[in-house]
Amino acid sequence: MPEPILSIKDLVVEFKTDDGIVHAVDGISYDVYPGETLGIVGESGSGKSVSTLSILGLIPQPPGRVVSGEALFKGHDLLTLKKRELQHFRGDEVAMIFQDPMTSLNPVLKVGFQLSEAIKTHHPKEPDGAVKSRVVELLRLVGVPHPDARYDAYPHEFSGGMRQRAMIAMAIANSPSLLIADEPTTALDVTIQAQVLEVLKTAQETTNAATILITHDLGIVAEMCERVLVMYAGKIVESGDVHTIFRSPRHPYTVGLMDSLPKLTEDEEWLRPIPGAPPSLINRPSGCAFHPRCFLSQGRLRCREEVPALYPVEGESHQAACHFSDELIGRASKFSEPVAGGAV
Amino acid sequence: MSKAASAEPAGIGALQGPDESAFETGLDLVARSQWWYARHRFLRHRMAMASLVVLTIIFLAGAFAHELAPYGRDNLDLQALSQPPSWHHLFGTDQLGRDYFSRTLYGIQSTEKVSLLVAFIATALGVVVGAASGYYGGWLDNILMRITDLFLVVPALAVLLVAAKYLGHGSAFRIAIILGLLFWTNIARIVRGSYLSLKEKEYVEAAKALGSGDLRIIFRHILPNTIGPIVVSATLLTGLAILTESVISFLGFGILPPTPSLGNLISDGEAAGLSLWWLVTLPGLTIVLIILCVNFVGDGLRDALDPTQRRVRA
Amino acid sequence: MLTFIIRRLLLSIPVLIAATFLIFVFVSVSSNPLAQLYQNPHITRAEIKTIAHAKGLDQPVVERYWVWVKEAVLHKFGTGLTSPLPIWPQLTRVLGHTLQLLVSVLVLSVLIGVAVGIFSAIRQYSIFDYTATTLSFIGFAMPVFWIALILQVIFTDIWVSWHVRIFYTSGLSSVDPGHGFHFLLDRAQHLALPVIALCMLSVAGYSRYMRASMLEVINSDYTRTARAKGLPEWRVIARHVFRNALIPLTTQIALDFGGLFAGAVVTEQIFALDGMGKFYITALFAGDPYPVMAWLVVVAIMVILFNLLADILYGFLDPRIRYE
Repeated sequence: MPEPILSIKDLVVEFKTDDGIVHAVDGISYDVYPGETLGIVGESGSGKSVSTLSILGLIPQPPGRVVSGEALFKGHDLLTLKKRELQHFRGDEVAMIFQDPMTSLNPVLKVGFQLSEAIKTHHPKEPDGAVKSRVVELLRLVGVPHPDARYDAYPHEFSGGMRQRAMIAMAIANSPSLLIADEPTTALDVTIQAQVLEVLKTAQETTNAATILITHDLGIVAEMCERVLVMYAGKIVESGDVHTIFRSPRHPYTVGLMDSLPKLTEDEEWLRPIPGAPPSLINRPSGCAFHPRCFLSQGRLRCREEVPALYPVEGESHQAACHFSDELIGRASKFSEPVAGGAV
Repeated sequence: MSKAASAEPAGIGALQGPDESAFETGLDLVARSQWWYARHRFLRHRMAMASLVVLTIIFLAGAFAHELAPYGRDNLDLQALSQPPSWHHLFGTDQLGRDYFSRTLYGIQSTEKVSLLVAFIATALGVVVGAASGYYGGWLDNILMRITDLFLVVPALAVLLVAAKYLGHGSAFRIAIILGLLFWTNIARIVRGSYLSLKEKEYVEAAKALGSGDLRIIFRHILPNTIGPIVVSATLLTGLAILTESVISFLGFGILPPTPSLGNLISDGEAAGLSLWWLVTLPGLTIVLIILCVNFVGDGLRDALDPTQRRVRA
Repeated sequence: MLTFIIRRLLLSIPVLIAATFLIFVFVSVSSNPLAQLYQNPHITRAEIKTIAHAKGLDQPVVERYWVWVKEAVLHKFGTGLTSPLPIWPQLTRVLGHTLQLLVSVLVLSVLIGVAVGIFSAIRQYSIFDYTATTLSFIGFAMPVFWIALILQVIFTDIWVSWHVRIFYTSGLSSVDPGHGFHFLLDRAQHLALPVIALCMLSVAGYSRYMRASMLEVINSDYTRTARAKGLPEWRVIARHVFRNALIPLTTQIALDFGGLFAGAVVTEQIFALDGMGKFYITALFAGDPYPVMAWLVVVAIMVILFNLLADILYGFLDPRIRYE
């Protein structure tokens, strides 16, 4: 078993608001191995973005606060580094791709300049000409047409998909070992989504970087990821490799997520959403955070009082945080039969 | 805020229909109206609350000036000429022996009359013009916007002074009309903007499909949704009106002595010589206090009624 | 770019005509400008008739307006009604003085306001921030004329009590200001108090505006991207935040320009400065509409030009708005 390149241990992040303290991330631990693609799935408010943003120190610190935990990257605990030290890693070894390409690029600076900046910050001695040709190469790699002309264009002259390609180019400019993509396709049209995911794959292949792919779209997880974490209300509720989770999920939330997807090969009269709404992160339900919406719980006392820990349910790699996950054994998930030409 | 589950769960059993009962499981949400949230937010704004209290006191003091003034409005006390502030004369006396505190109270009254009238006129006119402009668009909008543009080219004060000179001033009513006719453009722009965006909303389409006439849509459907910015603008406009009235009265184009206005009290004080510093300072401090409070209240209202506006907390 | 400028200038002519026409009609209809002349015992009926004819006052309003336009364009506004002195030389003289005042105010208030705003935003919630915010609120509430008077009171008091002349409290220059450097120093000492009085409001406004703008940019997605690239915070602020935050301020400064003249009207009265403001008030009091009209035209032209300048500057700062 190779050494993980990133190791998160018991991370707790909270936000102070006028209405109370929001427990955005409530004690999560996971590892990322070199070269792999790890998916993090969850609803809005599950804490999936916050957990990765806090690794790079990109949470605004007055309302936000990393309460405790470790984020070990190649032996350094990123959470304890000083600003200046952290800046060495940002954009160099650990790079991030953000959700909304419309607003993630500075509108008054040329795209080429912004990409060059990413390189020059970490290689200040490189001559300008070399940097520029590298940027043009990167743009070509991600599929931006006429990259040499586009170097001098402004972000508003790019389409959404092209902007995201430029963001990806910017992220891989310094050949990072860890790439974090925070919902990279959520803000894009479906047809463009597919293209951008292709570009992301190319980027991974070129750099061999480990990738954390955050999304709420199970389809993307099925297509891109090898392992996946399911998050709910600031905690990890299930983790394992993609095939196992899709075939036999062992947490009622994961089951609910799968069930709520329409299946293309069958006739369904009704869609089955998960009832209720995501919990307030200020006043969390007691015990297991999911129990008010859980079909498995049936109001049992243990669910209401005891917070379930994440423990292995099938071999070391598949873990779930449910007191009664055994009751889900043998339950056929929607996707247990392979779909012809499909993802799983 | 959601509460813990009750003992009555539901199950996602067979695939029959959407399971309605599942939505009742102990996820109680308390319904709160928009006004509840608005009130709540305003009450949290301590400065706004305090300012509201202070403003009410000042307003009442001005309204009841006749009853509250220790000395009359124009009474001369020949024994106490040009006295600095003391227990007998809180704001001192001027060179004619008039008690400045009493005069200030009457000055507040004048200012009240003018500013409230201005706010009313400007808001009424601004809402009507802005709504018509935003809702109907087209040539009406064009003309109205060109008119408001005219006002931008020349300094408002200059136009005001011309208007005051040639339309006559002196009475609070006249001044209020002149000021109102100049200040409506700001509100008109804001209302127009609101109507431009809100008229595209689905509930307007729905109302039209149900046969609602234009007037009904304008006043019954869209207007309530744009009350927030209107109230905030009207408040800040009142502050501006108070300030402007005091300026033009100071320059001699507003309320004329002997009727006191906070502005002409200061100009009288200036004429009396700078050594009688209280004649200039104290009425001025009153103006500052009033406008400060109005601004805080406006700030609080903006926080409460217009939370979508991306503002950073003061 | 050139076509843009020309188009803008051409478009502003109708605005100028409309504004002046409206005011001219308003003034003509609501008063008889000759009324004061009738009251003057030194002028005979016949003389009044001549003046009336020269100004076209015996003709309907529209004709009168045309007469005025001709006189304005061809004879540089001609003369007023109540005095035989030509308007234009007076106007240029006072304009020069007022511009000295206003340019100083503009430059100082922008520099100070922007600096305070930036610092407040970077050190949000610090003592500096709270102090600056409080002072701004107070600054907004203080009428300019009152600040001016208070300053006058204070500095007159200093002069009378301690015989130390720090700043002058009235006039543009002393009786014998000297030349070169001495003249400049004297002028600065005379203009200091009016400048301070006018700056207070502007600084309060610009610092708040800049602070809000900075905070919005500092918390924006693209600033987060810049940090995620590993840029040191100072460079993030200098290169990504500052310029972006400045953009909306440019519009605000342009909008405020007309207000500066309004401020001049008030301060020049109080400090007895021989500028546009005093000129305007004097003409108004005298009931002479012609200098008033001339003043309005000149100010309107300046506002239009200044707005044009601001728009061009805006185009420089924000590449999304580049003019064809």
